[in-house]
Amino acid sequence: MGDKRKKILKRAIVNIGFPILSVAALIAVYAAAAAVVNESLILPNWGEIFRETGRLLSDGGFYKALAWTLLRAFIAFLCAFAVGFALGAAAFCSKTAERFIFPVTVAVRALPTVAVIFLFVLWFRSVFAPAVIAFTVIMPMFYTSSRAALDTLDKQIFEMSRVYKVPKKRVIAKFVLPQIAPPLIDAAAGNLSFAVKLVIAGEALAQTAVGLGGTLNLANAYLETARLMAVTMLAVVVCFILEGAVSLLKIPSGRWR
Amino acid sequence: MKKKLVCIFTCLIVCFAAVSFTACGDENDGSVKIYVPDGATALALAYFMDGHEKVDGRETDITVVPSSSISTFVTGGQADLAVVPSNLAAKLYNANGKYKLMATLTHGNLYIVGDELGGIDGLKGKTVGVIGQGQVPDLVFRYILKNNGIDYEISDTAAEGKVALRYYADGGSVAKAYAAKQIEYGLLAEPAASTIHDKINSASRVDVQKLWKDAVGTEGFPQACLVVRSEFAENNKKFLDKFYEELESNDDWAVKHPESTVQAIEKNMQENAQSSVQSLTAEIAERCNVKAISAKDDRAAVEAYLSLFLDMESELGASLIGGKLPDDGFYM
Repeated sequence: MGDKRKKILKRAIVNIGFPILSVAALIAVYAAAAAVVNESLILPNWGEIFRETGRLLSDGGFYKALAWTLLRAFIAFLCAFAVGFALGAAAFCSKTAERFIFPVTVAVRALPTVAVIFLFVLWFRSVFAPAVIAFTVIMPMFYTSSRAALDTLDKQIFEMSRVYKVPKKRVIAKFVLPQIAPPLIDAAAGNLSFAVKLVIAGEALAQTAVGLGGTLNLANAYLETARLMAVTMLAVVVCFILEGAVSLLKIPSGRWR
Repeated sequence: MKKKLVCIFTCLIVCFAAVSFTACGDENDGSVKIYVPDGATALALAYFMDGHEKVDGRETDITVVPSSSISTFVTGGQADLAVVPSNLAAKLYNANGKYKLMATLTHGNLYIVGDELGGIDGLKGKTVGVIGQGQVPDLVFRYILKNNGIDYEISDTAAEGKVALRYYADGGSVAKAYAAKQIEYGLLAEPAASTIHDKINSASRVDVQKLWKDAVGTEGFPQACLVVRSEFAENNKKFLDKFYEELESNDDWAVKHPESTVQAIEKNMQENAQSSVQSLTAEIAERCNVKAISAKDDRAAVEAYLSLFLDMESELGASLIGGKLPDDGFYM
């Protein structure tokens, strides 16, 4: 076996083997704890969790709940991205705008999430409240990451393009976007799965009728721990897929360079 | 070498955490551990908390816990006795048989407060705020509506001729929703129902237990009950006989001594938390419908009540009582 092959094999083991090993370790620790406790109402074993997962996956109600949760998360995510980026861009372009926006974003970021949930449940319909909650938490995060991404731009290039009368559209497409897209996509990937988590928490606390939060509430009230864990596990998988899907956008954004 | 040491150290930490997690639990000092949820159910054990801790020469250690966490003490087996919702008792018994039903304690404490209401038909086209989707007040109310031929839907606004059910996390949220005119009525449990009724200047207070009687025929419904750990029951028969005897003859303690009951509950709250029972009058305590009835004597009412959960299992797609009515072994 050549040195190159050995290196490829070693890299494959490191890149694939170690993540598998860490997941296997988590599964093993949980299985051991479940065996010691031996009480399915507290720690159901993997068999019970997978059976419940199968039941959920063959239940139309689960897909309806998942679809509503994702819809709320997407709406919150897109609105937060649009507003956060717009504010970040305004702050980047004008110091006066930055002075005006800064205290607002700091105040919104500092709001205790539980207080936000209590108030929004009262102010908005339970169908929308979880999305508004997620928007409020994520928007300042998008503002910060947009601001940081825009700060990496070389301002001299703007001067130069003004001197040489390069059209603004061209500057944005050829210079700004390729520069800021990768860090923004990184932030977006994390924020999207965070939005899903926030929406689920919001649904549970707002007692939203249809959504994964409601499914978790019901499972919790009736001691269906296996169901609780199955929904949690599926939510993790969905977040993982969403994060991966958003990260894939980095490939076309890389081509801009 | 250094890497190996880090690996070993990490593994040790994981093992230690797993063992600590599974081994944690309360120490037992010989007293009888009793857990009861805060609220109307706590009134049922007011006598024992209010200076009568010793039963048959043994100390009882009663802890009042938030109602959302009572299941922790029975699933973990810490409680020798516990007051739990009857449907939870059935679910636990069907799951592992660790707890048996000793007596039913509260027989419905639900009230509809809000705008002027002539009869149940007046709810058509209105929005009712309910605590906890799929939980006892919700299921009882849905059953009553069904029985009266009234259509309902889970919605934030009511369609004509239908009742809209809108869910909230607690009584306080229902009161705020009423004040914000999101709902016309709220389905609440005593003693919070009376407090909220006064706070929102409610024009009505409809007794849900009466609606239940019209629908089912039984006087109230065994909402909460006293369960005993099966192993404890086998070895402490004399204590349990004496405990039930005192419980039965003093189940109206809260009605007779409302003020000292509030103090007794406060004193027994877990980690000195604040109780939801802040003020109590004899009338409010009366409306909590506390009455101790032995499991054997109340079996028919328990089975009728649990049948409601069994019927709703397919509608909600959840195992509410474990898919079947509990067998003879459940009733002590």
